[in-house]
Amino acid sequence: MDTWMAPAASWARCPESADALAEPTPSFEESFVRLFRLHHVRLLRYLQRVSGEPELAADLVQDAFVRLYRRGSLPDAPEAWLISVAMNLLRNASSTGSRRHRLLTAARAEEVHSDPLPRPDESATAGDARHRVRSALERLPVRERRMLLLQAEGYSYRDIAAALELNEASVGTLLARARRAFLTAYGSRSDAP
Amino acid sequence: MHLDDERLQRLLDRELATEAEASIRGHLAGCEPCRAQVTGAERESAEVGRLLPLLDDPLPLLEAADVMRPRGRGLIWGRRAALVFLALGLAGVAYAAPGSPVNAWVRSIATLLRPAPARTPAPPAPAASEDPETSGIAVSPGERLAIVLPSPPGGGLAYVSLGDGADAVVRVVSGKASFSSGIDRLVVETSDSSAIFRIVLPRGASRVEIRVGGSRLFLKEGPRIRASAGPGTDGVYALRIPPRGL
Repeated sequence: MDTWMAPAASWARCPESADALAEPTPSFEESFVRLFRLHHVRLLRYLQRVSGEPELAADLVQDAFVRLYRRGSLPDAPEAWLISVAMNLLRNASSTGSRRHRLLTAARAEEVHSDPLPRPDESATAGDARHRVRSALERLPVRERRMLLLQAEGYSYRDIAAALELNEASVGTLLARARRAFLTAYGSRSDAP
Repeated sequence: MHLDDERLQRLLDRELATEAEASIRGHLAGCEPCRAQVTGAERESAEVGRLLPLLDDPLPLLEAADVMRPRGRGLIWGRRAALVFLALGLAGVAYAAPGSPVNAWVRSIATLLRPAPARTPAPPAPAASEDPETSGIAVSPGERLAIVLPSPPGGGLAYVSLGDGADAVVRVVSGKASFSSGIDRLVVETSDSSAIFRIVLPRGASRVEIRVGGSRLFLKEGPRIRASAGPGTDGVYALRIPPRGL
């Protein structure tokens, strides 16, 4: 029977992480900054896709990293830890209307954006497509939805399993199922085998 | 043995060990149904990869400096306070214990330190505060702080600068004001017809916003600053507070 092996840590995929391993003993601050630079964007995008609220996602990512920094040391699986913390924060934010109100009313119009905004004529089409994608995602069970979004951001199976409390050996099967369910819900795949 | 979902998906996501991948690729070379399965799964993965970015909005820029603040300060001060209390407690027990020499030591030290009768004039009274006419408040900015200034009928001015202190300091240079603070908010109120404020924000503060009514005068987010007016040559932002009703 074939065997498989997940990478030791998900950031082992990143070229910069080789340097990190070569360094004798990077301080916590150095490790933290490196982790932040390498991974905050994908956590932000994941939360943005899960919540549908970019401002809320940015706040949650910031809060999650603040908590990691205050912890004073990196956990064994920092990315899985960050995902779990961010998801807990999202749950809390969703259940407390006051925080949600504060976040939504905090003006961020002056934020610097990394991507150009769409032209007005592109917005209607993009809006329809976005609505269809979100509807398809929301038809998936929560676990499959999160798995699909985490995998899309390149998280390792080990991190996905740790963050969602799954058996790592079945992550591939669940992801394949989630992919098919999503495309079926979107309408670009028939259920026929 | 044909590919199952687990191995197929791991092949696509590069989650297989080298030997396992080589073995699967060997199988694929001679198995048309499995090759078709892989091709179909690749096409579907590409479709998912095309669709999910449609959900994305432009990402705000975050900096590591925005989330890095001094760690464990409260704990250190807590430990220091606990040590002081412990030392005081032990000293008290030693002083009160019957037959303890500490009692005699304290008496002899007190005798040595007792000042001679005053022959010199009394020292001058402590200097008055730096600016007795101003009222003000200093608050820790925490992770974020909103300073809400009043909008007097005659308008006002806020001079905002950055300092090296740990607290955000708001002083009322002209007029009288009251302050109320919450977890992440400091509200300044005045009944005067106009007011001038001097505000010094910690250079290391993560996020401090100064607002008047529904308008933002100033925003410091990490190293970035947005203000309703640019800084002067001295680095001070002179921000006009519009009169109430405007």
